[in-house]
Amino acid sequence: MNFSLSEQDTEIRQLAQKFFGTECPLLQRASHEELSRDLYRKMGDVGLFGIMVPEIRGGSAGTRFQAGLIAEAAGSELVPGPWLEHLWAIEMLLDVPDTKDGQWESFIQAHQLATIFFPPLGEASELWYSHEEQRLRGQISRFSFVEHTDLWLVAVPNSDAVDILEISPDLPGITLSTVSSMDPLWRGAFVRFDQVKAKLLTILSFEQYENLLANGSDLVSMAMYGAAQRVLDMTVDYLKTRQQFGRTIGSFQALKHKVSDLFIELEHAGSLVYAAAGSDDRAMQRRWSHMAAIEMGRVYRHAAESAIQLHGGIGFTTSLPLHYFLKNAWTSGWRAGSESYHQKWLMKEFGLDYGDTAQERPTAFKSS
Amino acid sequence: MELNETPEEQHFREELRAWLARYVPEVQGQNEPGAISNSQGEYARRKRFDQLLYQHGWAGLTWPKEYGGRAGRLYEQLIFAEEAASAGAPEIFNRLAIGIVGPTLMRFGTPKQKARYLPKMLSSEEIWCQGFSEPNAGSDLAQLSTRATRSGNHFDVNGQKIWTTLGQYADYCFLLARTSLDKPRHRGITALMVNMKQDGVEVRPIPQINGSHEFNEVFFTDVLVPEDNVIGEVDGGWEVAMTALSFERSTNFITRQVRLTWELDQLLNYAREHRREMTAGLLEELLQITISVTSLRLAVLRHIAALEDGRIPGPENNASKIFWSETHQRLTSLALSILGEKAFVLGDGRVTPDWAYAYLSSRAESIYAGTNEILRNIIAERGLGLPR
Ligand SMILES: Cc1cc2nc3c(=O)[nH]c(=O)nc-3n(C[C@H](O)[C@H](O)[C@H](O)COP(=O)(O)OP(=O)(O)OC[C@H]3O[C@@H](n4cnc5c(N)ncnc54)[C@H](O)[C@@H]3O)c2cc1C
Repeated sequence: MNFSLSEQDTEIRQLAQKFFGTECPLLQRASHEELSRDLYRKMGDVGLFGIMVPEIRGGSAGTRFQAGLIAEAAGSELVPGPWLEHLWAIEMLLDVPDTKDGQWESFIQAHQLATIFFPPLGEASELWYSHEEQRLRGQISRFSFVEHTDLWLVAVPNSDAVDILEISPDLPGITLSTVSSMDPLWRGAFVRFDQVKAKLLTILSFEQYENLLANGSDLVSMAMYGAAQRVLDMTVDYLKTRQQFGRTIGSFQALKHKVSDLFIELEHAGSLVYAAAGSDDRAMQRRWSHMAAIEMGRVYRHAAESAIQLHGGIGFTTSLPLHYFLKNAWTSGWRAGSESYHQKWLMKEFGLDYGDTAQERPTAFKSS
Repeated sequence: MELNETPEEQHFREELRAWLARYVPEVQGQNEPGAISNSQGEYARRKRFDQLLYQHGWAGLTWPKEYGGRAGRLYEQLIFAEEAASAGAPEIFNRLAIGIVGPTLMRFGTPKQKARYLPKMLSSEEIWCQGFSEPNAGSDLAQLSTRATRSGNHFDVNGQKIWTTLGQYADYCFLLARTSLDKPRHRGITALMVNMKQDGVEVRPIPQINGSHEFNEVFFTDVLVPEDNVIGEVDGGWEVAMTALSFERSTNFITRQVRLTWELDQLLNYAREHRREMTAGLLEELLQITISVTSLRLAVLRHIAALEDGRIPGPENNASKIFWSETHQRLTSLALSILGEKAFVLGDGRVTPDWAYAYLSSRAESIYAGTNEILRNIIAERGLGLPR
């Protein structure tokens, strides 16, 4: 038992922090929202996207946890764009044997960016795929970053497995309409597929698919952890400088206790997130992943909300990037499944669900 | 990062489990593992368990070998706590000596003091209590006014301590007293080892809200303490006390969260059986607490790794003390909500754990070892660097 970062983990963490802190610094960049392909290519050059890819395919054969550390660093600078979807897509492709070397290179170098639509099982799907005709029809009502990516990976669950399709955005039969979101960092669209010729990349069992979801969820949680730590840091800095009543406001105990609470929450939610991302025991990882998603989502939202309160009026303006965190705290949390999805899974896991109670449900007024 | 147990760790666990299975039945009592009644039987039983541990080499798991310990890892202490809890073993009776006073003496004591006192702490031949708090010096410990005045090669101690856990059983007290009045408050305090079984020491029980008898008032009237019993420097007791508190706060959480996990498992079992009688709100709160307990356990593993790497404990330990106590309070309240009247009956043995006892006891957890308010101040000031 040794729950600490290895030397290599620490190196990667520092490298990623330094990279984003220089190339995409939250407090100095001109635009918070603009998505720069140039930045993505630089991320590719320093090897951030190839972290989990084997060396023979041009990657650095790192671990899932190390990918998470990159997500943590990106989260703390609120890096715009589909970096997380792209990393997740690459993780998915690792299990597809016939991905070509040239294709790997273009993913790792970010010449080609990918996004994913991997909905939780059990959610009503509005997509249908015919194996014989290789055609997809239906719709996705919120598809992240479709207008900024070159390849889409879409999961279509059927009765006994999950089809993973590869779709290129310029195929005939696709119509897009941009969806605006409360979070300006999230870009997405409503997408219709009208008998689109989509390639079946692979078929995953439910179990394989759920593992893929848990891995993605861990990336999201790591990104949220990075962001929430950043929110706390910014708030503590502000409490050390702002003066009122002739004192630094950070000397008021009411405020000290509020930031201590955030620290306490982050310390514990962060332990869950690291354990989920670092675990190689599937059964434990699944539990910790769902817990981390719920808990880090909640803590991140709480941190962002408190940060605005503790900044006073300036916190309610767009002159500080705090509002991005508040909005991102919601959209991030939902990126790998809703709170209900995670909660239901855990209720079942711990034997606390009611099971199928349809027949036992009492009526409000019994007729005699 | 390694989140699984190594073969050596598993071996340690199995060996310990077998030992506990053999010896715990000898010392199992009616009460909750942490509860203390005032009976001689209880005293004998608790002391017996400590001595069995000592005889079989399990005492002082993390103490260095030179002081008779096992020089084990902190993680082994966690294993010990887990196995002891699931075997229903009583809590270690001389825990203040082994967890707090002993390590402090190792840091500040003279070779003679160490040789005289440490072995008898380990063997529980001498039980220790900690005499810091006073009626007018609680959170503001530096306000203490128990006096120790020098006369020849002795100190003459007069004053009153309060909330002294195990005071009724203790052979020795790790006492803070004021030795200089003309210096700043923090610079006039001295740490002393005081024999409790002598004239002038009077211990009076204080009734507690959980029906247990753990803490006491202790009165000192012209109690003579040899100058050899000063720990560290005369007037240098503040540093000694702060070191003691840091031991108290840095490793206590290892043991305590284990009991919390065990209690949670009992409530989960109950809820599984009775969930159809329970509202979704109660079940969701139970899930939320399950998440909190899991994250606490993982945070503890992170601290253990940090301490084992030789990193100096930061404010995270205080964070876990707060998180542990508040999570335990939520859990025990929820248990009472779920079990209702069944749980209000104290100690009739029909409901395990004794939730009413656990609930009442949990109210103390946010008060002792630094109130949660004081710990929040410490996190903000020393951890996050906010001005005082
Ligand atoms: C079960 C139990 C066992 C104990 N065992 C021992 C023992 O063995 N030896 C020993 O020496 N002591 C022991 N204590 C005492 C314990 O350390 C004190 O109770 C504790 O330090 C608080 O002091 P107090 O009770 O005087 O409360 P006070 O300090 O009077 O606090 C009252 C309230 O004011 C708050 N408060 C005080 N100062 C501040 C501040 N600066 N900022 C914000 N809030 C503040 C507190 O948080 C608390 O809510 C024990 C206590 C308990 C409950």
